[in-house]
Amino acid sequence: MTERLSICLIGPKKGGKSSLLATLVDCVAQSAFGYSPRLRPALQPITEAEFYAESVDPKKADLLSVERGDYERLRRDFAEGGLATDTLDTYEYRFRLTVNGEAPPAVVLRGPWLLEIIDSAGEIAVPPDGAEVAILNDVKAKLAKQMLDAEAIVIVLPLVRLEDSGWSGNLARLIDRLALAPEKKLKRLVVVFSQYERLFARLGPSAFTYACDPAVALHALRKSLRAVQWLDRLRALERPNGGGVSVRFTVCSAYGFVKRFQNPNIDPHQPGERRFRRAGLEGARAYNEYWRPFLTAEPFLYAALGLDSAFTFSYAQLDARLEEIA
Amino acid sequence: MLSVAPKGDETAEISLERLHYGKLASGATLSVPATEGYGVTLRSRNLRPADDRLLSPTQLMALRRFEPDLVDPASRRHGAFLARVSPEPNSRRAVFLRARFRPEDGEGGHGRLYQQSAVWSVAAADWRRHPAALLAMAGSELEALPDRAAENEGIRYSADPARYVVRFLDPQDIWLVLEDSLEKTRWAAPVLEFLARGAETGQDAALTFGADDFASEAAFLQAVGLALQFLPPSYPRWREISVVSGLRHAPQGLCLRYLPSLRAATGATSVAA
Repeated sequence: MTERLSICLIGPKKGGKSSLLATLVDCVAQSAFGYSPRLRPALQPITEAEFYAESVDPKKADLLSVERGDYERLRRDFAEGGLATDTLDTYEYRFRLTVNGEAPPAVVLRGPWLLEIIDSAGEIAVPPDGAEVAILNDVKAKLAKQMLDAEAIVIVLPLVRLEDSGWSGNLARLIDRLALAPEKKLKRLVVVFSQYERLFARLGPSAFTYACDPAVALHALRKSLRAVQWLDRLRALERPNGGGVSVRFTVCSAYGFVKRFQNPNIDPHQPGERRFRRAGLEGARAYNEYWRPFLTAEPFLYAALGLDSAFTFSYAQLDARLEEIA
Repeated sequence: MLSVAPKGDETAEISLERLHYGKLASGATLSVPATEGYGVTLRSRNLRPADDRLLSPTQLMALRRFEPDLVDPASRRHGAFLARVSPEPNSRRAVFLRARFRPEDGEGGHGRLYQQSAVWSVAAADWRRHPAALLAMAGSELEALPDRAAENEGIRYSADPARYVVRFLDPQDIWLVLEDSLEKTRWAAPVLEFLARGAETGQDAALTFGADDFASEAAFLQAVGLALQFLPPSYPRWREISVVSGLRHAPQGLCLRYLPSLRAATGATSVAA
């Protein structure tokens, strides 16, 4: 059996949507997620033709083919410092997901999964509050339809700038409209807080150890979500009249933590925000020795499989933690 | 040096409508404030918001998406250049586009890149009459620079069209220069043959030159401008001609292209549908 599903990535500009997507395949390949290693997921970028093809069996020739195409470009843009997604269109990336290890039979029997992940500029769905952003009407209409047709939505928010964010009003309005849209196909919604590594900037080589503790992530989420206006609006989606959507919260870091040294992977000696790199090498190869993304597969694996990891938290878990603290 | 004397005192005034897509910037290095996002940041008053889509960089370049690796490495600073009749059906305008990727933290910065573009739109009839002058002007003056956030929005969305006075060129002089170029340069014969073959076969093709053929984009535009100026009014595929510099993509039709990172001309190649 094969399940095709569509996942929309939304969030304010510069929140890390494209970086999250660009690091997804590497995160799965490096098992840098919070799922059991015994799950053994595998993810491969595929073409539009392969996504819509009748047969989803990978061709034997693929074994020797060099990875290329839009996703490879996205990865390269990420390696070179990032590229702001333009507002002239929305961009679809397609993948084949398989689970090759231990998973509940109800999950395994649904696979393999063909995922269509839609990336778009933050200005389209979550523009800055009060700003008059001139977006082409056909692009707005396309993204609105893609959101209504999506089985899952991943909302990417930057963890470190949450308190002074200038987009929370528009995000709240978007969530309200989504909850009230009867034609939506939404089953799962994941709110992922990006740039998680920055919380641990002062912890040096202990950073990764703390980041790997789900209780720390839960605490960070609870603290970040305490003041946000849209948290309760999101609860409406979980109610039967809001669509009975499964909502989860998680954290991630596209830059991650440095392999072996365990500190946050932002090189203070490089201009701009760059990862540590091996001197004398160019492109992605220069970063690979030290780079390990952190949990960037989490929102997509949950969106596709509906399977919780140690780092996906429900409202019940957040509320329990709140009660515990109270 | 290619130079053609103007034909007496005959001149024409050309009106250029302007449209900028990108982000607003501020400061000496024109860095992008965190609050600024993508949008049309300048639209001269005779253009309508409905023109935003028709004049978007991807539409003009016939690309699904404009990406940094599509810009020739030697053209990254100023950006890719394109001149053509606007691709919408029955268009009566020609467009000139300069598009590039610049860092959000300003010129010379190391931050995230975003795309910035500037478009001129002129009457297609003016492009047909004055290709040499328009290519020379656009090549030197059309820059993909961000508008300033401090600039009044009302002014940016009702900007005056730019006006230029161009002189008519004497066809006899154009021929003399081309004749001279046929003997002394490597570009004249291939360009004229390319245009003649394009008219004869009706097939889409691109003719690409490199740094060994032209020392600069300006030299390429000057040469192509003369060749286009030489075309007879009855040339059947005028609307399908595009002049491209620094872009690793050839629109359909007849594309004359310059890639400064390439050493020498590649000869005519077919354009993939």
